[in-house]
Amino acid sequence: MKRWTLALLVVTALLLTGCPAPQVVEKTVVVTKEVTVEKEVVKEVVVTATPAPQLTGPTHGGTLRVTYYQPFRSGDVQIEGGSQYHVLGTQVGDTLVRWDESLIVVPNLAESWDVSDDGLIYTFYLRQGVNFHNGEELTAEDVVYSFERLANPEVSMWASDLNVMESVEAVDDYTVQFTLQEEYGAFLDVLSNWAFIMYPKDFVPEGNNFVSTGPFMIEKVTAGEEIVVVRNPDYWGAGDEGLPYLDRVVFNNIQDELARTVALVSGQSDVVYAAAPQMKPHITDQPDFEIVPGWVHYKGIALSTFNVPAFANPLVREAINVAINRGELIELVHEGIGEPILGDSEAPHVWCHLDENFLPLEGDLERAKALLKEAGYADGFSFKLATFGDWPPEIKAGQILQDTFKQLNIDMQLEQVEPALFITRVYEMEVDAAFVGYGYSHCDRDFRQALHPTDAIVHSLWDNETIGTMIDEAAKPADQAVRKQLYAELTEALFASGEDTYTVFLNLWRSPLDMAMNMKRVRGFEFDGSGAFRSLRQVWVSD
Amino acid sequence: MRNYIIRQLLYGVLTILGVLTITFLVVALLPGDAVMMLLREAPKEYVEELRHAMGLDQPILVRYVKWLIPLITRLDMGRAMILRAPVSELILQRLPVTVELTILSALLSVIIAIPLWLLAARHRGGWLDYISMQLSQLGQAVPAFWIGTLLFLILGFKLKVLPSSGWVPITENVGENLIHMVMPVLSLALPQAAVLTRTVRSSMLDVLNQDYVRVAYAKGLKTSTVMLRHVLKNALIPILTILGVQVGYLLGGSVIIEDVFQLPGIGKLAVHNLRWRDVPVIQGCLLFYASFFVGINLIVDILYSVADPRIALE
Repeated sequence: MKRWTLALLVVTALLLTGCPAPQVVEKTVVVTKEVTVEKEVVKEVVVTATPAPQLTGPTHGGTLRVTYYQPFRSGDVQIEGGSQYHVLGTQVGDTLVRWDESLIVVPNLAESWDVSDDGLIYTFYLRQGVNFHNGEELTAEDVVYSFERLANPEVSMWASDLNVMESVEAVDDYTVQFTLQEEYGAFLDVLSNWAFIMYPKDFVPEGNNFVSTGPFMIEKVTAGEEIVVVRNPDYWGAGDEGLPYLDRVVFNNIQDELARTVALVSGQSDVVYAAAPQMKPHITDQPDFEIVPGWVHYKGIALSTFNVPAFANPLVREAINVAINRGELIELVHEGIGEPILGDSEAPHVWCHLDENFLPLEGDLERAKALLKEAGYADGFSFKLATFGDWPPEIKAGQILQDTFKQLNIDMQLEQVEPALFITRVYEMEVDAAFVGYGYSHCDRDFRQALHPTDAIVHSLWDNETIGTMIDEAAKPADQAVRKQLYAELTEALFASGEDTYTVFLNLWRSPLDMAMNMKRVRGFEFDGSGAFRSLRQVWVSD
Repeated sequence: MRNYIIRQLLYGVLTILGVLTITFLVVALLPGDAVMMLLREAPKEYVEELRHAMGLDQPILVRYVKWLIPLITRLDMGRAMILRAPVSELILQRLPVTVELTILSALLSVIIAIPLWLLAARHRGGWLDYISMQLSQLGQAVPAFWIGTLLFLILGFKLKVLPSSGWVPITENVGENLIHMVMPVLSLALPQAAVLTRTVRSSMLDVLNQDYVRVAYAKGLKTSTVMLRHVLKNALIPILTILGVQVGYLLGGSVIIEDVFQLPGIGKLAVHNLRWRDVPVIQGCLLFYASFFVGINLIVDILYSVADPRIALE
């Protein structure tokens, strides 16, 4: 018995301490908000993954292997979150409406729609002859079921996006009517979310059983490991573009970035997301492989004015903002790839991007010192900056900031928070300050999730009712130009707000998350400048 | 013997229950839960709602009892919160990987160790004995994950002669399956072979000094016959003991190795779910590990009496 007990304790201890390599956990922070990245592109930068002249045209058949850095937990695209589900959802399902390359909402499963004069009733007219993977035709009842499921907070993580929806009902077999609680101009954008795909009435995906309407069908789900999809031979939207060339796509995940990149180089995978920085020379040196920019990833710092009284002073916050040399950070942390972001956090290709720059790009220590003196903090103060474990980019950026702040007499210590605790501690703002990684592009949702007093994802981060009301009002007008103006006013109000807020965000930079692929094998792969993954219908493999 | 097996099985069940109880409490007391890992983007009220729906707002003991009763009455290990599937299904999907990795590693470690035992025993004190002891010392000093990383970088990345990650079911393609297993199995087997060589060598030497060995030589038997029929057979008891424990260690080592080589086994499942705080899955994995340990040790106990009929299991 003693031997058994000892041996069991050894395994228990191994399990409890057998944490993966640091690179594994680092990716988790990347997706803290990456699910917000949508197919929204104004300035589209198309990168065609075929640098060499194509000797042959597209061919049918073959398997494409895509390796992601986050696990595919299940096949239930409707209720899962994470950018990996954007990649998957685009292949296996279709939304009522979708964005085109210019971010204009265009018909998809719905052929057309009406909006009532008061902006409260949206009526969608469904395309006829759209079949699910099981052969049944899509009807209004299926749409009602899907949206009721999506709006259920006990099931779907997207429920809060549909807060504004009061009801959804089928008018007839091909007409669906949404009634909103209040005017919400961004409603069509909400419906374009890749997660809002349709399931047949009463259908709940379980294991390999998955039914939707997309160009690919789920064949096999190994939860947490891989999802295999196969061509849908009866795809309703085949039209001029035709059916997918690929027989099969295997989506798997490798969380360790080194292992992920080695999988590409050694031929285990064709496309990998987030290649390891140290492996880039090995990839770029070989003609078969290429690194292309993927998701745009944002990095900022959340400051707790509750835990550090000095942060409550707007002059102190401005001093910190002014002192940071964002260009240097990008150069040293991301090898110069990226761009600084200041007050306006939306990327230039997003419609609500503001042209104004609120602060100089280079660090201005003299001005920062003057501001601190004016605020009464000439002798500085101290605080701790939390990093997501020992994730190298955050540690590196933290050390640079440490040197900068030292010159302002601010004593900043780095606090490596265990990844499993990071989200809880930051969301509950139990830290003085923390690095926060996120992905932006859905303007209306981004402001709400970042700053709204009740809907913000970082709980108790912001408690400013005026700002909350401004966010509510800005989302209402149907006209994007009007909404953009309201968001500009909101941004100015954010800068002007002071002691009555608990926490603030300091945006630092945005940079693309690299994607590497085997150019020799993968042809016709396209994605846009924001890194959004296009349908794999046009991709073929050359063996 | 039957009574002995029944008694040992009962002890085993108690041991497993103890392990599961301790793990449940430890994991439940850790800060953070599965809901926080799932709902990173939802307002707080939604987090609370889902926490309630999952029963995570209930006291630890209530949660423990609610998890334990279906396990005992229906062998139902519950449902994964993050991976949204029955825990038994997740484990069964991954079972072949872990079992294959463990068995192949144990076999390889014995295959490597046996010639070294014989070599050491035959040439004790000689330079071959010295070299094999030095090699085994080196093997013992190097952890499996380090060997794994080295193999991964040299054979997988630099030379590209072996796949660096993934797994192919043996039912799909035997050759591909074995090729994918080479590096993980070597990583686990080499340190184990070193331990086996070193510890078993001494028991072999003990046996070599016995009178019946001298008698065997005096009868004019060949050295190989003496070694295989007299020495090795009589040294089996300590070898079995060590093998039993070693299989346990191999299972523990597989937790890390599966993660290094991205093998979709139970170890990888356990590590990831520990990070996600998905208690039912962690418990399910622990149940598997504990049962495996208990089973292996029971088998070793039974094999004692087979190897040496003088040992009666009572």
